[in-house]
Amino acid sequence: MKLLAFVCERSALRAIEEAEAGGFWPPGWELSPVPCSGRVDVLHVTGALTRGYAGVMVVGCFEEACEFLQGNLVAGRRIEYLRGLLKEAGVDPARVRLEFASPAGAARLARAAREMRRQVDAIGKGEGS
Amino acid sequence: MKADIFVAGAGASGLACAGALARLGHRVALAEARPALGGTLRSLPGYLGSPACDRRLLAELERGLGPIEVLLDTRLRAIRGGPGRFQLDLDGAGGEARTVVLATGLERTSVPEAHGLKAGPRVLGLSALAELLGRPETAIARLRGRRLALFLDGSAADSRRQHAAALNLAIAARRDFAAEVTWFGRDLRVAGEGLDARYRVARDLGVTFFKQGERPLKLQDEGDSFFVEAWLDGLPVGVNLDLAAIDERETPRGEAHLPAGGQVDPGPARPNMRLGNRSPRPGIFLAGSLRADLDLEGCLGDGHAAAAAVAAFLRQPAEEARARVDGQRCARCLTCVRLCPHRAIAIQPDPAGIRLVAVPDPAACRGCGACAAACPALAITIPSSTDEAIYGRLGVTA
Repeated sequence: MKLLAFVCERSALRAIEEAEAGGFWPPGWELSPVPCSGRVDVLHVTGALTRGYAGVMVVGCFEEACEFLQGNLVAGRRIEYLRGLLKEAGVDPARVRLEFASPAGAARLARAAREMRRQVDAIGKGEGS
Repeated sequence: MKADIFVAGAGASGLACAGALARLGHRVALAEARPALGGTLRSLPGYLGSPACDRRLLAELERGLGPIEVLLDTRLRAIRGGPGRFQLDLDGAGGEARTVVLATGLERTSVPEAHGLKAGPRVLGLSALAELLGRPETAIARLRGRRLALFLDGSAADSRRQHAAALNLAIAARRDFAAEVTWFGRDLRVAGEGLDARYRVARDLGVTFFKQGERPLKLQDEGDSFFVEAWLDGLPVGVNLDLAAIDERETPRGEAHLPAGGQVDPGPARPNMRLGNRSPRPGIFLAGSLRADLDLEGCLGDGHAAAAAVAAFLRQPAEEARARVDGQRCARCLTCVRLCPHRAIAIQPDPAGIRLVAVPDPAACRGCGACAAACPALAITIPSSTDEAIYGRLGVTA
């Protein structure tokens, strides 16, 4: 099972690098760094889902910490919109998740990644049976 | 006037901020509404009781200014435009700046009604009392041997800075003018740097402290004096007074002072107001007691914090990290204009002047890519983060 994370280069990428160096970043994740989570389009996420990724996580900065002021909020609105569309299309919206992270939040982000992996696993088993 | 950064207000935080930014190599302009630099630093009754200390600090800050364009007797009346290209109205004269720092400080208004008193010559605000103590001839006539009370149950009761200033005033009135000083407070704050020492000095000099507790004070105006009924250990105590000094409500300088276009919403009331260094409007920053309840050290530090925020904001992204628009594809739908967090895109004639297209301002674009992600005509690209590159990393093609 492949999972993808679009990560903000300024916050989340640093947190994940720290988690990888500490050895507690869960396996199975591929990373796609973007200058800001606001750069991630709905099409990028759906493109990844239709091409074999079981789940996509978009990680931006916390509110008010965004280098670009509101990129994280723009991403938040987009992902919420996309989750609504997925639900209507009969795809479990838990396959797409938005997380906020700070460069110091490695442990928290790793926990979120593990949790999402478990959720997507459960969805896959449910759909498979 | 043309600068990278325009700092309005040359108090402690404005001076610290302007100095720090100039040392980083930015072109800075500093405006002060009064005829001299210093703001509140000029009128402080002395930090920890030493009048010389602030003068030295002010001289130090002025020396640190370096090559800054200083505009005295100048008020910032209005701010127009967006980050990277603010247009300023400086008392009729024009100015241009890429970012603006507002460090215009506080406005104090005394509210005697909050204490059941009427404004008058025998009811002073704390800042009026500080002024009175600074003029010994008048102060001797009005204070020597008189009964003075300080009422702190409004906003000052929660503010360490105002509390320290009020204790300084009580000490000065008692020690220098032999006034009988009584202190009525909702709470007595002694936990904090310098507060404990001030409280002990005041107590040893004979200042009487009443903690107000649950029951409200009863004040009666008796013509030439007041009568206060307070509670001590559950028993009523009557105190006669000649002069009342009350704490003041502090608000960011009002619309008359804060320039049009730069207004900030301070929330319901001080002193718990806390705004960030970045104002809700991109490119306009706030520093000093304008945005939070800060004492002198706080203001100096906050000037530097605002300088760091401005410097980060002004860091230009590389050429290939900024948005580019394909004029042929642009549908002028305004999606990018609406979405850009930096207000960096406007609909303008294309270079040939034939049709209107979205044009990003290179000075304001930070390269976040929010516009590129949303453009329905796929007309906007960020060369360093194209869709192809994002899909390419996934091992799929767009």
